[in-house]
Parts: sequence; C-alpha cells; structure tokens
Amino acid sequence: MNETLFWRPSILAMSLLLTLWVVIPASWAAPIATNTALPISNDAIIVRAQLVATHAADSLGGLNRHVDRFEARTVLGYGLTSKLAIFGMLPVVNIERTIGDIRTTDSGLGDAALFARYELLRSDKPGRTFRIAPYAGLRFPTGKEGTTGDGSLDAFAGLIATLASTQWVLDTQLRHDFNAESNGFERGDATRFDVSFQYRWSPAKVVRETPAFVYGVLELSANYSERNRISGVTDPNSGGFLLYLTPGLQYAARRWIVDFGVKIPVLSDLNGTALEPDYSILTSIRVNF
Amino acid sequence: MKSIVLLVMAMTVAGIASADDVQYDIRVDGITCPFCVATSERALMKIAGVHAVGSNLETGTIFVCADGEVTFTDAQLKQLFLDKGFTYRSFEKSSGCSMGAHEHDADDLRDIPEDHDHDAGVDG
Repeated sequence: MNETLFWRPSILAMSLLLTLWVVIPASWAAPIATNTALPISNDAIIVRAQLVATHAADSLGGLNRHVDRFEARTVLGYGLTSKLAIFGMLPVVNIERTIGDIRTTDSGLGDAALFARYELLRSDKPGRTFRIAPYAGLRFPTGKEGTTGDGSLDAFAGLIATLASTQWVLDTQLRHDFNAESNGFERGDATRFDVSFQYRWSPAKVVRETPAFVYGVLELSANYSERNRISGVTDPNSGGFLLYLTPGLQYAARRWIVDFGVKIPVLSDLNGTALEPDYSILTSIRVNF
Repeated sequence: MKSIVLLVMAMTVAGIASADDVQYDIRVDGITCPFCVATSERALMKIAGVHAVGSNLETGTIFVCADGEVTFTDAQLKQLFLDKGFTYRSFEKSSGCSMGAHEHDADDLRDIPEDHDHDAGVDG
C-alpha cells in the first residue's frame, strides 16, 4: 500500500486536531486555559511553564484511531508599561498517532506566538477591579509543517474582560484566529469564547499578610472552526463546534502560581469524520519577577 | 499563654522598629490577590530606608515601615502604583511601626460611615 496515500485522509483529521489544540491558549495569568486582563507591572516579567497532555481515540469503520499529544509551553510576559504588555509563547510538542497498525511519532518545536495586550479600561475599588483589554498577535511557523506546525503565518485578535475581587475572579474572552495558507493547506479560521470563574476556597477570610489563595476554577470554552482548505478544496472532515468544560484548582502565592485542570469536551458538533479530543490535562507554574 | 504570645510579638516588632521609625498606611485600589500585590511590595522594599512592607488585601492597604527620614508624597506613590497597574488613593503616616496591627478588619470597616474613611482624594 502506498503509505503516502494511506495517510492522506488521516493527515486531514490530524490537521483538524492540530487546529483544535493549537487554539488552546497559553494562558499567562489567573485562569487555567483562558486569558485575563489583570495587569503585568511596568518592567515586570512573568514566566509560565505549562504542560498540556491531550488524548483522543475512536474507531472509524473498524479502524482504531488514537492520538496522544503532549505539549510543553514556555510563556514569557513583559510589562512595557503598566497598560501595555507583550507576550511570547514557545511550545515543544510530541504527537503520537496510531491508525490501525500504523504508528507515527512527531516531536519538536510547535508554532510560536507573539502578541501584545493593551489595557483599555480600568475601574479599581478597594479589593476589586474591572478591566478590559484587547490583544492581537501573530503565530509563526516555527513548527514542522504538517506535523508540529501548519507552516503558515497566522494572526489572531481578541478582547478580554476581567472582574475580580479578593473572593472571586471572572474572566471572559472573545478571540478570532485568522489563519493563512501554506503549501496548499489553509487551516479554517477559528472563533472562541471563554468564561473562567475562580472562587477562593482558602483562606475563608482574608486577613493581614495572607500568604496565598487557593481557588477552585471552572472554565467554559466554546470553539468554532471553519473547514480547512487543501489546494483550494474544502475539506469536509474538518472544522465544527466544540464546547469544553475545565474544572481545576489553583494555588496563588505572592511570587508564583500553580494550577491544574482537566479540559473535557461536553458538546461536540464536528464536521465529517474529524477525530474528537477526549480530554486534556493542563498544569502550569508561573513566576513573577 | 495568650499574653505571653502577644508580649513576644510586641518585643519582636520593637526589635525591628526603632522609636524613630514611621509607618505609612497606603490605600491602593484594584489589588485582589497575593500574586498581584507582590510587585508593589517589592518596589516599596527597594526604597532606601524602608524596613518592612505588608498588606491587607481585603481593605486594600499596604503598610510600610521605614526610617523617620523617609518621606512619601502623593505624586510619588501615585506614579509608583500606576506603574504597577493599580490605583493609589491616599496614605496615613504614623509614628512607630505596628504593620497593620491597629488596622480594622474588613468586617469592622463595613460599619464605618463613608465620611469617616480618611481619603486624601488623590485619584489614580
């Protein structure tokens, strides 16, 4: 059997998976898989190391499909001013794909991203704040085209609103990805809406010199992707809608934050035979310098 | 036993704060978590003459214990907290350092009428 031909439809399915998983953001602040409008101080640096493991498996016409994707992301945020921050994200990816008896593994750099966030509105009260911050950026084809990256230079933009108190934090985000074409492959544009609610479980009461908060986190993420195009032809087995729920825990100390969450698809309406993710496990640590 | 603990705490505070020390209670809005307040505390600690910095997130108060000759101004603090991404409101200066021990808890503050809350009226 011509292996190239055999893999062709599978590559399309994998491309969709890549689409779905790449848009899981490297979040750099309070929530686990969402963004926040909370500030990075002027001249301050936040570094975040995030691990994301995603599993997907199904059986298509008696053919078992199985994908395990492991991604280690390093995110650097820098406050150019108290309102303007820039972020860079560099992922290292390992993907194992099994279709029937054929198994492949790809690993290496994924597609890096660079973007800027600007605080448009701020309203502060004692122990609470409301902020709105738009952001925009580029995703660079630093990954291996067709495996750990899609080869194209893509743009994205979004708007974040954050309402926070010492008891709870609510982050919402609307984002759109404008994906470009490379070597005949064009990933479908994607739109997502995220809501993240973090509730302080411990301590029950904030007192002087409270060293850390423990938050219970619940995040909802609605993702819609248009179909991919290959050599100008629309791929029917790509794109669609996915709704994720991510329960998690977060420990926020003065210099660092650790978090853990499980991202579960709760509603799926993908096109054709696209492979659906079963779950993602996310954990990270971020340090404030 | 409780008296002994309080006595030890008082002696400890006395040990790190001389009679000439002053304390600034700085009201800052928008700080909601320990991670958020950390950069502001570090910036204040870098100021020459500052011995200790603490905070009460619920009341939005940052306490600074410093040498008597350390002087803050509204303009200086407004810029410092603006750089950190927060809104400076006011400060109170007092002799000696208690680092917030005299401060009301958040529940107590809810009972204080608005016009009893000392605010220098400096908006961020």
